[in-house]
Amino acid sequence: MSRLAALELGLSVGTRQLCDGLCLTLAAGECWGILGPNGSGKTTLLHTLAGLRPAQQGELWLDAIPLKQLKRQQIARQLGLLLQDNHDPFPATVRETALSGRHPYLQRWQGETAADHHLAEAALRQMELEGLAERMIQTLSGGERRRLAIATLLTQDPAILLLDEPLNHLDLRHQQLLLLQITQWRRRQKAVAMVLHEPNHALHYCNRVLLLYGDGRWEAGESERLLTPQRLSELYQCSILESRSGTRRWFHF
Amino acid sequence: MRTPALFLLLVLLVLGALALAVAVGSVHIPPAELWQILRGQQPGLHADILFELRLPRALAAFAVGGMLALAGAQMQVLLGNPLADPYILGISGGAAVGALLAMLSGAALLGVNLAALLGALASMLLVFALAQGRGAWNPTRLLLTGVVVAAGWGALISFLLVTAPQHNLPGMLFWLMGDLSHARHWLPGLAILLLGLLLAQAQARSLNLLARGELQAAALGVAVAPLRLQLYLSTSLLTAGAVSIAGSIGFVGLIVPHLLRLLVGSDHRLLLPSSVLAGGALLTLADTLARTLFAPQQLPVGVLTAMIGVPVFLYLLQRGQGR
Repeated sequence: MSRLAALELGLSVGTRQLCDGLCLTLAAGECWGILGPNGSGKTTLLHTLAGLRPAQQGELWLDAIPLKQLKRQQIARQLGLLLQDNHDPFPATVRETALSGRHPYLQRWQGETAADHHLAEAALRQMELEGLAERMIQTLSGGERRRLAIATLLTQDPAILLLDEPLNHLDLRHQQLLLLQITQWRRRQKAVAMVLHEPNHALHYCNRVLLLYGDGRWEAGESERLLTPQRLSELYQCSILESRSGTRRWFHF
Repeated sequence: MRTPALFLLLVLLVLGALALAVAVGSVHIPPAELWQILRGQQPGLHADILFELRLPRALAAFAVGGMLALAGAQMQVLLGNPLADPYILGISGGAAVGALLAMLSGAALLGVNLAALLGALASMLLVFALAQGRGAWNPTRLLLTGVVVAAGWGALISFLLVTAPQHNLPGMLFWLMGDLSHARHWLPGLAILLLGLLLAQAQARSLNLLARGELQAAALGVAVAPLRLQLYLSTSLLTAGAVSIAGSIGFVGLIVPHLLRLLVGSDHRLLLPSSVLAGGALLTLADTLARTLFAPQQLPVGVLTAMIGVPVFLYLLQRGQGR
């Protein structure tokens, strides 16, 4: 079943057409990898899919309802977005921040329930932040902040997850932890789309990929079929090689 | 600090400040008599001083302080900047030009207050229309527009001061520094304050998210554009109310929310009401000091808010570094 669908989507920034006539369906249990050179519109696309900026052309549908017709709160109950970076000019604790993931589910005058607190604590544990719950976010390292943003998303627990460079700032252990989490999301029939800079992650963790060339051209399809050294070399305008061991293949310079 | 304890402390502080404000002054009223007057058992000159002068002034001080602190807390979120204050977008400048022009034309007190209110509202509409422009409404554009309009008001104020007749100057300067000695309109003040707090409190959880950036807020279900509009209107009206009652009292709107962020954190459900209480108490205390410290000479209360606020704030900032 398709959760989020884009029909004939056209995106442009200024006078530059980033992609044209893009059709994309995000189904339950799927994981899309979005690849492309810098400035090719990956983040713009993700924000458009999340309804944070209007689509210049085309339509977006969330569970067969036009995205435009939904209120922000209704969207946020279905769809979560991990931003590329977070900036926090005001002090707040790690716990408060993780708890904010429950905002879409609360009524105006309603406070967080014990169940909400449990969800936030579980999310912090999952991202190995439970010891930092009372710390101010300003005192966290870049990687810890990233894990907190992911924990907030876990607390929100939406059915559709859009992740903008989710592995940024994470050390290898936590990269592994997150990739494992993504596999779990897929198993629980969530729909995931993530912007990546590492084609190997797309090859090994995504069943589909979207390649954005940045000049209006795009290609979408099964990652196994679409990801070839020729295409990647064309996409990134540099030479990319492939190695194999058994049935497993990977890309490198 | 635990939340209930902090609120209890703040309520006690407010009551203490109000009690001090009615008890202290150039006419000495013994505490026992004070108590009888307050229970309505002893009419007379002292009762008149209490009910006609001290109590209205104390309540006006509380309302103005609360309005400024509430406006400041919301303005900081609206502009995404912890250093924003209620006057940053030129509301007080517009009010000042209105008030000074009214003084120069020899208007009575009510006329000055109304002119200030009109000036504030005119400035609010001007900044809003200019910031709207053709494109999207964003904090940076709003801030720049507001700061430039405020600078324009500043030039007009200087012009009025330089060209004003000598005998008008002290009154004008007092107004500009903020002065509660003619403040009588405590009832509309308290009404605006209560309404503002109610509206703000209904959005308090959304403010927590907006404080973390517009994208993050929108991603977690906040309708950012209507919220910003509400914040702009609410901070403008609170500020306009405060300056038309008491002139442009500095510092309360910047320092009180900031100070409370250090004490209660950034959950606006606690921050907004505690800012109102602390702002009200601070201004009530400062005004009591302003009229008693060098009695019979009265100081503009704006001078005192800074004198109290600066050391307290610096102390908390030093202490807060360990967090």
